[in-house]
Amino acid sequence: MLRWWTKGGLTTALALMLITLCSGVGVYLLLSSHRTTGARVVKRPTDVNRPAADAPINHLPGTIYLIEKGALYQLRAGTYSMLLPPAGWTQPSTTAGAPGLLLAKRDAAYSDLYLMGSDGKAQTQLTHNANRTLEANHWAFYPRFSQDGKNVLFSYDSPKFGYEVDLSVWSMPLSGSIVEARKWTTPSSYTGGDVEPVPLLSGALLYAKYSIVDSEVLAQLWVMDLPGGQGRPLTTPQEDCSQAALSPDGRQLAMVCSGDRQSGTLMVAPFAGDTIGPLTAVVAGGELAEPTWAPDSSGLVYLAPSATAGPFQLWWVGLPNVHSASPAASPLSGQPEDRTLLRPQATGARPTAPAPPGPIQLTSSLDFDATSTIAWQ
Amino acid sequence: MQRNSPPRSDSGNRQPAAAGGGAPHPPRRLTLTALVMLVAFGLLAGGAAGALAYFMPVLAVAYQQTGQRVRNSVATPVPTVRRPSQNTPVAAPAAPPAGGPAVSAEAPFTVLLLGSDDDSKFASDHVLTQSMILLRVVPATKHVTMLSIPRDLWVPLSSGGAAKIDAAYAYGGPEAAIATVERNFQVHVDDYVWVGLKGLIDLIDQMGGVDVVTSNPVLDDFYPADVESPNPYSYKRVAVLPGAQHLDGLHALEYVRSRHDDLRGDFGRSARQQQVLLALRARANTLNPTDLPAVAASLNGELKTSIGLDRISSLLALASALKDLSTVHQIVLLPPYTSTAVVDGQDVVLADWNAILPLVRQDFP
Repeated sequence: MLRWWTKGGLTTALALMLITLCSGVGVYLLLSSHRTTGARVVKRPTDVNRPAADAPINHLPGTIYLIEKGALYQLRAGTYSMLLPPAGWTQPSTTAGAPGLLLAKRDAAYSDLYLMGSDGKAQTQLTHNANRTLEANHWAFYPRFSQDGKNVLFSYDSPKFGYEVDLSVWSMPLSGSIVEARKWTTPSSYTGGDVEPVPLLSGALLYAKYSIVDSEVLAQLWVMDLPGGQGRPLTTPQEDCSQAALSPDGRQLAMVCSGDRQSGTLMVAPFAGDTIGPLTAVVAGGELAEPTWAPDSSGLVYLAPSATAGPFQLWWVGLPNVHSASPAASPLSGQPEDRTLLRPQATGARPTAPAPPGPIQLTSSLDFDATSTIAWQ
Repeated sequence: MQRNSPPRSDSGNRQPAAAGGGAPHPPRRLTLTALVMLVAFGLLAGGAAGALAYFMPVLAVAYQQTGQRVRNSVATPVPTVRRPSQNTPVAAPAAPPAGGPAVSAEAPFTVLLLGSDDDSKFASDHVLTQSMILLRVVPATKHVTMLSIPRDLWVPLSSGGAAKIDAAYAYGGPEAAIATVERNFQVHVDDYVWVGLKGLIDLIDQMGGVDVVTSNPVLDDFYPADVESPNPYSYKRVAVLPGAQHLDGLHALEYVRSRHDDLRGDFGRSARQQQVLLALRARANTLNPTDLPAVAASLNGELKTSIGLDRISSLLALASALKDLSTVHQIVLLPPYTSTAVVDGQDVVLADWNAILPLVRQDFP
């Protein structure tokens, strides 16, 4: 035994132990590497490789502003740059001729609105909603420039009554303060309230209003001509439409309608200032968010998961023929048109192609904030 | 064996002497074979040990937290929560069907899903069940029904007296919760699953979050901050914005737990709980067996179930076969099935059993 041990047995035993150990560690690591949750790689937009020259994302016109994990990114000609580091930034918006970019900055118990240059510099804090008393803090979300660029419209949780905390749409001069703000809408009590204001060319306001109908909370698009006015619905409660986006030419309205709670349909309707035509479904069957028009109204970008689940990516759908219909006379739309729906696919033609085969996924391995609007100019 | 081994220098890549026509050298062949076998054994043993170590959390949870025995006895009330009223008259439905034998894999079955805020406000295992959902599965037709039981439903408890139904678990554990539900809803409950809120948060995080189309802005200035704060009575502001989004565990919990700014109160919360439960089920479709250890680790101490290991595998197979979640029948006992009242100074929900029981019988025969 001793002879064997001294003549190489020790080396053999150690080698076998090493093999056993390596095998165990290897199997453990191999199993770990197959985890779906652990394997998902989410990158910062600035860390992704530059796309191929013919990639659709390179051909998006103008500049797109997006939020990932509280940071503001700018996408221009297929290249990202970080304008603001992660700090709770969300919901950028801008409009043609506006003096920069509006954003909300979210903290644990409150959020404030900011105006900044398109390069992310020269920040001006527009609201001051922090308070030492917890329930005296306020939320401000969905900032939008008024059509003349002099006011900011936003959702604000005031007034509050005990447990009742609902958002109303307010407007405030860009150079003013909250004491000069005017309340536009009165929300349905205990529903969460009114969100996503869209200023119209006429000076009226389009927004999403939540109401309880037959014991369900449903969203409707409403138009309000004047602050504190009566308002009128553009969509039915059953259509459950929200996240309205007005095309730059003012002729089309995009929105997300969720018939059931786990999927939505991206709808587009002709728009004539205060009436909409029949809804046309352009993308169906998924978790869709934040449709945003191209500056030339030729299509939309929106956010949706890559496949059936996971972080939200940027998608494009071209709409060369959708706006040919005329608005209906009634302010209430009918049922969505029964037409073949475009379904998401990962490859396709360039975004500006005249007849794209369907939605095109523009990004992968990113994690855009799906409750944050997208700004495009 | 070692004594017969040849010198180490002979065990290389040389051709066996037999190939040259001479006498064979059995010791050399034996050494090579033995070495190969030893290496193979080492690889297999190491691999098995590695796999065992990897799946150890699953085995631990499976051993410790599944197959919990449900006793027929009822525990003595524990005075850590509000005491049930002994005097308030509540029309108690007839006694429940007797507990049956274990169900077969293909037989329809009913599971009582329980969720609790297992924070330091309560003595260990004497928590209120803020979420109570009866789940009925018919494997043959793949039909699934979820019925949310209002936590404030004022009922006679199986342990005696009357109280909100969420106290049944606190007074008598899962046995009392099951017995109370069986007695009042006249259903037979085959099994129960209890999950603590911290476990739910970790579970969702380990599953990579859930994709949910949140129904409306969910705002709450008095949301309990008991999960992340050492003070179980502290609160915080929450704002879950509407629309499709990817929620981590903490924010998913905020969405399903908030109820102050919902005109439907606990009913609205129940609907949101069912929604996230279905989203979790959809998310589970994307997982594979190597995800199980992390998922199991998140449930360590935060999960109890009477479902035994033998049934879990068949239930997992069944769950994976239930792909179309849009067909799940969701029931929330809104008015006129229920009404609100004040009993013993508490805001409670009263049941109209004449309306509820026929509804229940349709899906929970």
